[in-house]
Parts: sequence; structure tokens; C-alpha cells
Amino acid sequence: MNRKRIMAAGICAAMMGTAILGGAQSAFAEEQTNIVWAGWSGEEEASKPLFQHMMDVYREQTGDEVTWVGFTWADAAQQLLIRNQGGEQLDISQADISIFNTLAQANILADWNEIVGEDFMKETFEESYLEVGNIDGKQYGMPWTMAAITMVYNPEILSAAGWEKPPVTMEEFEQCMADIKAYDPEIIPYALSTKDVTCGADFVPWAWTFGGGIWDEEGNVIINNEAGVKALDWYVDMLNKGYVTMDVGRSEARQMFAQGKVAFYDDAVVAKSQIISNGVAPDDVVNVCSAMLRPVEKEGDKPQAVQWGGMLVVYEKSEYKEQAAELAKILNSDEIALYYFENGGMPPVTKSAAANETVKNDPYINTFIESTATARLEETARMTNANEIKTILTEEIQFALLGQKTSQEALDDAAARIEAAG
Amino acid sequence: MREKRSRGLTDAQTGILLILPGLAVFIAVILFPFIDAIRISFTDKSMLFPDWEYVALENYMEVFRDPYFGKTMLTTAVFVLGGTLLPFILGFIWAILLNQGFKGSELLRGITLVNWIIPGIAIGFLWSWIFNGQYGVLNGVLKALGGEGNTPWLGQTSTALLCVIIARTWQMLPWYMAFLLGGLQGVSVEQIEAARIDGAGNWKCFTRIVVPSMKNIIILILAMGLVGNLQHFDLPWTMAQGGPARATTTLSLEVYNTAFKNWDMGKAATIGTIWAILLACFSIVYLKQVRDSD
Repeated sequence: MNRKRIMAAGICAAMMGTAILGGAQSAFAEEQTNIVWAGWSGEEEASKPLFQHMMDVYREQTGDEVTWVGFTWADAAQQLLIRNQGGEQLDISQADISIFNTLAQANILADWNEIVGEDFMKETFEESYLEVGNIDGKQYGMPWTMAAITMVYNPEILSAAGWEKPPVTMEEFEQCMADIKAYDPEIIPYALSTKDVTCGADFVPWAWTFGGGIWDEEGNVIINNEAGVKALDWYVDMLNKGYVTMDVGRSEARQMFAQGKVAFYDDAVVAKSQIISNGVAPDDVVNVCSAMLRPVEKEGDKPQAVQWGGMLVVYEKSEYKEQAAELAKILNSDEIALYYFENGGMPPVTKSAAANETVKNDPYINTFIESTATARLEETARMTNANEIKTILTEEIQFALLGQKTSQEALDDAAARIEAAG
Repeated sequence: MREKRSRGLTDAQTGILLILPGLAVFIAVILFPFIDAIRISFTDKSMLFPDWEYVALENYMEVFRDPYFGKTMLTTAVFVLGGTLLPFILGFIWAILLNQGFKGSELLRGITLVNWIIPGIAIGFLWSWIFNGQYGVLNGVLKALGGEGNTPWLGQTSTALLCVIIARTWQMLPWYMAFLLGGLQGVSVEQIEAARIDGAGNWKCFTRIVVPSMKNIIILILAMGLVGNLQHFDLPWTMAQGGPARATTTLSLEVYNTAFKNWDMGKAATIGTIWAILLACFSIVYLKQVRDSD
């Protein structure tokens, strides 16, 4: 009898213990949430430690968990859509200008004004930055990193080729490339993007430089006008002279530039992080990587640059919008914004961080900020099929570069395809 | 006894019961998505918006009106034929050599199979590096031999598809070799020796005895190879993303781009349906061969 009682008491104690442990566990689970943050920057080798630090700060400050889900920039829109539509957890992600509209049009984003309040947004960010992430009055994008895509150059290579300052006009630019080629034939003077969608995207500011573009103000396709053809003829001429080369995309350009094998290429402020990850001290970056204004056709013309920016977006389906907002606030806090600026070159977007002396006196960032003043929003930025348009441009530019079509034929075909794509 | 028999199942009924689970899985995983894809090909379904409408044959008309669709079909045909015949021929030569049973042939057979085990994506990156125009191994070797060594192999239309076919050959050669080696070991040695006594040379023995003896296995692996290459995606994508100037855009890449870059699920399903019809033609040859060899 005794033994039976002892056994019963034991079982009761075990059951109670399990219940207490279970209760404690579920209470703990209720307290700590795990949000999913997705994007591409944290996948890049140079930025990985920076993102790790950002997430560590979030964990420390909130006691919550954050999981990074990453993909390449080229696959970002598709992966974010699939993840969202497939019902997988996705709370917050980065979204640059080129994919932001696609995500917004798919009706999967939440309005930041409803999550953190309109007052917070207006107090924290400049109106011009907020406009980029605002569609039809809904603030789908919270500014995170904003700057222009312009050109960067290696001052050491230019100096060795006899150029103490970067070229200002197209004529000077061509002469500079010729001098670099003469100085060292192994160096690619200009790592112009000739593959993937960056080829189509980078063609547009050059078309602007010659007075063209994809569409006019009435929405008519004008990529095949005289200015567009002139820009593409110039591309072909540069290839024939060996100033640019085929099979180069943005990532190859970054890597080769960081290794001192390229004199010029198009990029945003992120160029800095690749240089730092190659062993250059942050303060010495400007010696091998400086921003410049895009050369103009004739002196006095406005240098062209593409408005580029990274935003943070929260998903409508997310159960943890509040926690996602906490992460967004931490990412835009002065501490993290300045950390990202100093180590990754990303200029802060909040009023307080932008006013910081470190930012204001940084020689690397100044030209980017100067470019941002005249930068234009990419022409496809408000389109859901931006990628399709850029792919069409890339393919037709390649046809011209490889001599399979004349510039006029290639851009006529591009215009017809862009019109058909709507 | 009579009652028991009437309660029992006939062989046919038992057979049906046994295939039911497999049939259910087949319907859920293969048949339903396939029929649904055909249905989607008649709609304007997009990945971005939940609403869609039936558009009859509009997608099919659009695909056939596309000036580049013919080029995509041609690129696919060149890739499928090149990516099948080249590893088949080289695999056959390698299998004949290994079949001689020289010292170390078994080790070589094992080493050869390694290529086939490596994931396609890794092979794609490996060969992209070899063919890279700026820092590629091939250009490095050419430069060391006194050449210019600055050819953008994957950046020109004349060589990009060939590079992808070479990578595919390297990947698939062991697969053909393994099958053909198995087939070679079944060829009658006595028959070959008799032919040699009658004065037949190597080529005659190969064409008159070896190939006819292996006819079934040759047709079988060629059909499987063609189907596999028609479906293949990894290498053209990782090595050249379909470029330059669409030089490596095959049907599989076109479906991917249309669905996941242009968000047009209706048109992607249409290309997929046309692709499936082509696949079915090769599959019929394959199935017929399997039935005949049984």
C-alpha cells in the first residue's frame, strides 16, 4: 500500500513538475519573439559582420530574437514575393528603389504611419526621403540608406596616368581612359556593366547624359531617339577601343576595382565596404576609391546620377509588426546609423545622424551627397515590371555591343519590346 | 468456401488497391499541378496580383509572335543536342578504354564518377571561373602560352553556349560512361574474337558487333539524356544567366524569367506547356524503348 502511495505521489510530482516547466516554457515563448529580417546586403561578404552587429544590438536591447534570411540582390523581389505568398514568416525586409514599387503594388506591405505614427516619421526623416517610400499617401517604405548611384574612380591609377583630378566632360573622360590604357594595358579603364540587369540600368544615366531616356513626359518610348542611339554608339566605340569589356556586371566591377584592376565604374556608396573588406583602412579609402560626378557632354551640363536608396518595409501578414518596428528604429538610431556609415559607407538618413560632424566632414561621402542633389529617380522605379524593362535593355545593348545589330536596330527593337511589355 | 470466395478480392481488385496510394500521390504531386499549369496558360495570372481572367489563346499567340521565341527554340535544340551527343561520344570512348581492364582502370572509373556527384550549381560556378574573361583559368593558361588571354568566353555569343555545353559534358560524361560500360560488359567477347579471325578491324567490330549489341541501352540513355537536357536549368543560369544577347537562353530559362522576373505566370505556363509537349515526344521514345527491351 505504501509503495503504491509513494508511486502515486511520485507520478503526481512528475506531472506537476512537467506542468510547471511547460508553463514556464510557454510563458518564455510568449515573451521572446523571433522576427524574420530579409534582404541581400547581409549576404555580401563585406557587410556580413556589420549586419551581425546590428542584430546583436537588437537582441541586447529588446531581449527578442531576429533571424536573417538572405538572397542575392537579383533574386530579392522574387524571393520576397514567394516567401510572402507561401505563408512563410517574413516580418521586415530591405527594399531598394528598384524593387520597392513591385512589392508595394502587390499589396503585401504595411503602412509605417500606422505602425510607428506619422509624427515619428516626420520628426525623424527629411520629407524628400519620405517621398521615395510613399505611394498614394501610404508610407510603405521607411528610409534607411539614401544616396545616388554615380561613378567612382581610383585616384592612384588616375594619378599614375597623369590625371590629378577626375575628368569632367566626355572628351576628357575618353582621353583619360586612353591614358590609363597606355599606362597599363592590364587595367580596365571603365568597368561598365555589360551583363545582367545592371547593364540596362546603367545605360539610362548615359542616355540622360546625351539628352535621351526611356520615356518622355507623355509616356512615349524614346529610347531609340537620336540621343539614345548616340549613347549606344559611344558604348560600342568604347568596347572597340578596349576601354570597356564584356562579361562584367556590378559584382565583378566591385571586386576588380577593389583589387586595383579597374579605374572607373558605376556604384553607390556601398563601394566603400568592398574596399574595406580588401584590407584598406576606412580613413584611407578615398586614396583608392573616390566618388566623382558623371562626365557631361559639354561643360556646364548637369551631371547625371540615379537616385538610389534602401528602405525598410514591414509586411502586412506579419504578426510582429511592433517588434519589426523596434528593429527599424534601432537600425536608424544614431549609434547604428553612424556605425554603418563608418564601416559600410552608407550615409544616414535621419535628421540627427546626418547632422553629425563625422558625416558632414567625411571626404568620401561628399561627392555622393553632391550627386544626390541632382539625382533622378530611375525611370522604371515606379513600374511593377521594372526588371523586365531592364532585361530588354540589357539584351538589346548586348546585341549592339556584339555587332549583331546596329545601335539604331537594337534600340528600335528595344522600343518595340518595351511598348509591348506595357 | 463459396461464401469466403465471394468475400475475397480478385487479383485485379487487389492490384487496384495496391496502386491506389501511389496513384493518389501521382495525382497530387504530378498530374494536378500539370493540368493546373495548362489551365493557367489560358489565363493572365500574375505573381503580383490575386485577380486573373481567362484570355483564351492569347498567351500562345503572344509566345509564337515573339521574335525571340524561335531563337530560344534553336538555342534549346543546340544545347540539348550538344549537351547529349558530346558527353555520349566522349563517355563511350572512355567506357571502351576502361573496359580494357588495365591496371588502375577501376580507380579511374571511381574518380570519373566524382563529376556527376557535384551539384550543378557548384559546377556552374567552377566553370564560370575557368571561362571568366578577366581572371579565368583558361585565359591564364593561354596567356602563359603566349596568347593574349583576354577573351570574354562567356561574354560573346560565339562561345558562350559552347562553354555551357562543355561544362554540361564534364558534368554528364560519367553518367553516360557508367551506363555504356555496363552495356559493353554484356557484349559477347566470342563474337568479337570470331569477327577478328574473319579479318574484321576495330572499327568494323565496333560498328557491326558492339553497337548493335548495345542498341537498346544506347537508345535508352540518349532518350534520357535528351529529356534531362531539355529540363536542364542550372548551368546556363549560373554561368551566363541566358546571355549575352540571349545566346544561352533555353526554354527552361525562358520559363523562369517569364514567371519570376516578369511575374507573368500565364505566359510562363504557356511556354511550360509547349516545353512539356516537346518533353513528351522524347519520353514516348524512351518509354517505347523500355517496353521493347522488356
